[in-house]
Amino acid sequence: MLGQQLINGLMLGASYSLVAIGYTLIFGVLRLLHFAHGEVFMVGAFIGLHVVLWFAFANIYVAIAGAMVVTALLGWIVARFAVQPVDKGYPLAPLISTIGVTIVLQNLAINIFGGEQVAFPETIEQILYRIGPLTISSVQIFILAVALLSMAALWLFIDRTRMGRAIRATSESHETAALLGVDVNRVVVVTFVVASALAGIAGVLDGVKNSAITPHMGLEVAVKALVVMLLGGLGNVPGAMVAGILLGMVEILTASYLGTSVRDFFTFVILILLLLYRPTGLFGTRTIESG
Amino acid sequence: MTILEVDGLHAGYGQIRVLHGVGLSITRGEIVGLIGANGAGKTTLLKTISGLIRPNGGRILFEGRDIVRLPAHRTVEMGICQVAEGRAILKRMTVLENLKMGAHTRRDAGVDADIGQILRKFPVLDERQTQLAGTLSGGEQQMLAIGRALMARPRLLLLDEPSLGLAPMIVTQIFRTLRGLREEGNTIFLVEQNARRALQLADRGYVLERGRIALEGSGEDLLNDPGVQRTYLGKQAETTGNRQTRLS
Ligand SMILES: Nc1ncnc2c1ncn2[C@@H]1O[C@H](COP(=O)(O)OP(=O)(O)OP(=O)(O)O)[C@@H](O)[C@H]1O
Ligand SMILES: [Mg+2]
Repeated sequence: MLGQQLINGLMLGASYSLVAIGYTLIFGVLRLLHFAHGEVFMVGAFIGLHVVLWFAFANIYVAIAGAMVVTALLGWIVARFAVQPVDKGYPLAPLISTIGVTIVLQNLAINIFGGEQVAFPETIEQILYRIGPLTISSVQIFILAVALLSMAALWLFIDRTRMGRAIRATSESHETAALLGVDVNRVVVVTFVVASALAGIAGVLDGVKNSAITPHMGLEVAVKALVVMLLGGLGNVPGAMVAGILLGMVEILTASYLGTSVRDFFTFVILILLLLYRPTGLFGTRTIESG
Repeated sequence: MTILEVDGLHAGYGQIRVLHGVGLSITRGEIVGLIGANGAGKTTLLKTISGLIRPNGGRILFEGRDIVRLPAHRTVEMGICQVAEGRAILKRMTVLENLKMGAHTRRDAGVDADIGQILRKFPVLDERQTQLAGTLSGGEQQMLAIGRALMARPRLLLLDEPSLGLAPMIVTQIFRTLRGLREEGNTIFLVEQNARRALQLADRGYVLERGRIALEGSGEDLLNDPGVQRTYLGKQAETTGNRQTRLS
């Protein structure tokens, strides 16, 4: 059932891509590894869950919108209060500061939501579609559609808009961007906001897919997305999109042919091989550029 | 009418003091040259005017307004446009996108028309609109950097060594472009190592030595000044200078 596995891989990979794009955008403009990005994803999942639980009218779209708003706000807070104040000539300071944010967010989530796994309610009616030998569920289609639409929207934003161009200029050189009239600090904040909103979407999708979320769910995704960013090439947005889907496929294929236990092992083998032989990523660039 | 007035400017990098009380003024419509040895502080002066570096003291008046505290993106909005040393184009963007970035501060409807105008002014860019700027030759990159700066419709253009590292023929072309820009009414502050060419072109010039203005005068006066000839034109006149004039 190779075709079936590839569909599953595409689904898994698309959510890796969403998180990895955020890492990549932030790395692009600040050369910073945003350590707490996985926790932003986790916050997105919990907000999505509670929007559904608290508001009678809320469907999954409202949940995603709510998660996006809250994670976007969280991105703004992280940028303005955890990153920019310490971004003054000590290259490690912002990194350590985002590690601090990780700890804060995790403990907040455990205190508010409890440390246990929480069930994510069914928000989409399960319908199975058979196309030849393949079976696709409505949930899978939903997840894939939302992930791909978000990526397409992001691509249009980066490629076509004034702010998108400013983000690309800033990731090439802060000084050059500033001399062209770009308010670099503002661009950095916007980048955090956009990256965080994408992670928020990914968090809700993860809840929908796995039907359960925990305050610790950020770590695994963060590590995977990090591998994806390296695969795609540091700062390369289209690279991250493609690499995420690739990693998802590889994971599903190894899981189904070699067993679930070797899946993560395999991911790290890829990471190590990559660092040894292709440190600039599969596509060999270090860019935020259009397609 | 004075467009820029710098007075008693002190600036540097942290503990390192580079400028020690620089003063100069630029009148609308003229080209003012600034020459000086490596490390004299020429780039530092331009960066301080454009707002990349916050000065430790002194005044910078642009069209009568004090801009000393403004960050770079605000001075661009006011009409000061710096073409940085080393052709700071955006390598991973296309030629067209670079030009659009030049108009980043503009919201008016004339941007597309201006792009057309720049492409006519620099035909090499016209042929390469969709090419990544990083793949352009050095001369083409410099043209792009100048064209991009013009996209902001600057009222003062700061150029940091536009001839750096370019073949003599290209340098001639760049200086011809600058002359054309003046004829169109642009105001240019030109930093150059190529002192002879810069002073030949400039209406007035300043000599910067270790962070202080050592000399000022018309371009011609400076060209004829024995001190300037010895330090900045001397060797060139005997050896490389001759070769350069022949080639151009
Ligand atoms: N970012 C920096 N940090 C610390 N010192 C710097 C920095 N940039 C320049 N300097 C120092 O400031 C002094 C002036 O440098 P500046 O670049 O302004 O000289 P310049 O006249 O433009 O020289 P060149 O002709 O070589 O471009 C030099 O001594 C230089 O080492
Ligand atoms: Mg210099």
